[in-house]
Amino acid sequence: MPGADVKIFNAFAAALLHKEPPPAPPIFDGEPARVAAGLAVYRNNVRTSLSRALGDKFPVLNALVGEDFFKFLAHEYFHSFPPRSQLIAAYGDQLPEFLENFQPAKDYPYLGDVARVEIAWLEAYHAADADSMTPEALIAGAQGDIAKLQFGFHPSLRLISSDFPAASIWRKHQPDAASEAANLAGGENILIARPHREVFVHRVTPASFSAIMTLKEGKPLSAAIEAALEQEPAFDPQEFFRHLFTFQIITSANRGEETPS
Amino acid sequence: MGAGGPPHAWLTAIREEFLLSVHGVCLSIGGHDPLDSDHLNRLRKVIDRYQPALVSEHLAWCAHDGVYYNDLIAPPLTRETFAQVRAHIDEVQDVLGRRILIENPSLYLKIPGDLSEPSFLNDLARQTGCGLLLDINNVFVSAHNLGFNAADYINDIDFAHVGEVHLAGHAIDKASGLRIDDHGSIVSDDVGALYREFIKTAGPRPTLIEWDTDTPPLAKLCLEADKAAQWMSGALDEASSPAEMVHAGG
Repeated sequence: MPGADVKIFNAFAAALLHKEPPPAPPIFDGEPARVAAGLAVYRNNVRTSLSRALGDKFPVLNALVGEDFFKFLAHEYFHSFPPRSQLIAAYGDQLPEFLENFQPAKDYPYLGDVARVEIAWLEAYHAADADSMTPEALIAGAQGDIAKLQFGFHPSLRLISSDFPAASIWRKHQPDAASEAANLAGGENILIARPHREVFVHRVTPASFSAIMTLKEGKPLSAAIEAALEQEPAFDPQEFFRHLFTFQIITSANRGEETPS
Repeated sequence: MGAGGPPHAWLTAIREEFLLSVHGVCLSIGGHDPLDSDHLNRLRKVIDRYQPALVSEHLAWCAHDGVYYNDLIAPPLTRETFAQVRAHIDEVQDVLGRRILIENPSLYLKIPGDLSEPSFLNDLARQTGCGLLLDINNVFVSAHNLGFNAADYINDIDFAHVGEVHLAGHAIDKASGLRIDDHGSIVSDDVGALYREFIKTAGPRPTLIEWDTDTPPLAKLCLEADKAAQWMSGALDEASSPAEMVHAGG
């Protein structure tokens, strides 16, 4: 009978998604205990492999909450957001929002932003490669008038504004972290990028963050400096410009009327 | 499958020294859902860029109704599913512009269906031009779990289609007695014996040791590769020596 097999796929998939081990679906032949044992292997494979994938993507979160809580979190997350993409690297992209509404984690409101840093880190890691521009090349091409320039940014660039010290918490849990206690207080503006092989997680001032956000929206350098000066009247554009190039995140520069190179 | 970054830099460096075998785990060729064209196109980019010697996938599904389970589950072996899988393989080979190999899955449960797995695989190869990837550990695990004879299964496979062999370790679940294909230990002697028998008749085949759970130090993994190479050369020696010579020598 055409279309009969879909019932088998449906029954199998439903048994995989069921939160508690389900009774053996009647579509499978054999002794119910034997069918249940077989299904249990598949259910365990799914949960273990996806929990491991989350652990690989969120190692800092895993360290912060501990192995047992993380497994519980992974289980609950799977039942709220089962993977919808064949790209396993994309699994867990809703974890920050999930954590922020997860009652058992309500006393740890910073976990969501730490998870955002880890997502941005992995996105930067896998982002397309591109050559970054040197300040010399930029100045040579700008013919003196840099205020009107618009910039193209490296595909790996990610910007996160956090009410918590999310980057410092992340840094503290890196293998090469300094052992002395960091001052973990206040919000942070975070810039994540991978100009070459290595992913960098930087903290920048609120004014610099506004300037980079403005540039990333495609507005010229003059608008970015205005935005930064609104934030911080003592903002130093030259210092910012020098600092911007140390991140190696600019890949092109052009005037508004030209097409990006 | 990412756009750039260190994984591509490493793979480029490896490709300069070695031939590659690209092994897919999530196209869901055995599934009821249509193939994910985005994912297939990502695979095409990898294949175009690295020009691997071999490309393989599984007779299995991992996605259903848009949910992705990250596991490889055997489909029902019926005529209806055969037609679906055949169409999926045609589509993949068409998009990639090359032949792929299809691997037999490991089973923990008898899935409804009236066709035998070896004939299902042989017919797929005959009708689509795909090759087969024979995972001898999977045969051994499924044979134990479902109660069939592993050697008979292998003999029912048309060896002419087999383009690659997989070997791996498996675990035994104490509570149920089921063997679990976990790729987490050395290749068992039982699997080695089946491998030698296969090579003796089929001749040499590219062989991969799968070990991706509790990955050991490289030296230990290399020992497993050496062990498989010895099994292969031993089986080839046996195949080329007349039976009485082996007897006289032993």
